[in-house]
Amino acid sequence: MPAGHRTDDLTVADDEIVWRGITADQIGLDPVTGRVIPRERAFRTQEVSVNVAAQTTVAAMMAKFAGWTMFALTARQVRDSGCIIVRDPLPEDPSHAVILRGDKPGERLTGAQAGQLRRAGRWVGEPPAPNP
Amino acid sequence: MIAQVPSATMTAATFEFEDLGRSQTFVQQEQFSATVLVGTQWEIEPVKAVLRLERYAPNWDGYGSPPPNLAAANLAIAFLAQIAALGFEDLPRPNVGPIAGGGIALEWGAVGRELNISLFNEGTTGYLQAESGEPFVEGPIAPWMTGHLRSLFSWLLGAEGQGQAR
Repeated sequence: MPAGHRTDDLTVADDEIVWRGITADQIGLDPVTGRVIPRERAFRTQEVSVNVAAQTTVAAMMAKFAGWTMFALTARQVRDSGCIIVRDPLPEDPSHAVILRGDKPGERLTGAQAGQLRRAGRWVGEPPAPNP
Repeated sequence: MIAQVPSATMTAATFEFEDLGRSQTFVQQEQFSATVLVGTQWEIEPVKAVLRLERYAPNWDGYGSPPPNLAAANLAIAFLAQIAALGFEDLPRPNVGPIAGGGIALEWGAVGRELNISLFNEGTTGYLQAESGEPFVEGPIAPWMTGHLRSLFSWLLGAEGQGQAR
């Protein structure tokens, strides 16, 4: 189904956790909050791929791409940023889902949406070192 | 003298740097004839960072993102030249990195403030201002919008009591 016809999947409950893999060069120190968080550019795409945490494991995610550090968001945080979550299971990845703009699904997330997502979430495990 | 920056050829795997003086500095790609002219010392490291993005392979982020393309690289270098020409003292250099989905991000941080300029592979651009306790501000931006650029960087540097243009 084209991204523009997708709607928020309410079977993903507000307290459901989704993971986004963040590479080392996407990690920075937030000058606004002082925390180590993903950079805005990690979320500035049309479809932000994530995985439903309850349906996978960190080990399975790292087996897909060894350069990731996992960043966790709740579905509520995603929705509060003006985005929607749509399950998008793949044959090789049944836990796959995508975050889309709520107002214009399929268009690139706005800077504000990316900014809100990156500040709302938490690292899975210890925060990584920032890339200055 | 600030030289107009021509297009960058995004094909070199390595490059050498030779400082020819304060007015003109060349970043020369080792294997190809194209050069990127910069007019200030400040531009050197960010331009080199833009050129290094050519080394990114497809799927560099594990989500199928393409590497930055030539259009984004040209825009990034043009922005760096215009920002350098604003003449701010003690302007920090940006963090330069690829954008998920394709593009180049130029990111500056000051105490409590953040300014990001995004150059996307499809040729579009945008800026984002973030300040503690304030709503995000974003919109389109272009290298020729010098007044707006000056305003943005005055705001950014104003967080640390700077923002004085030469």
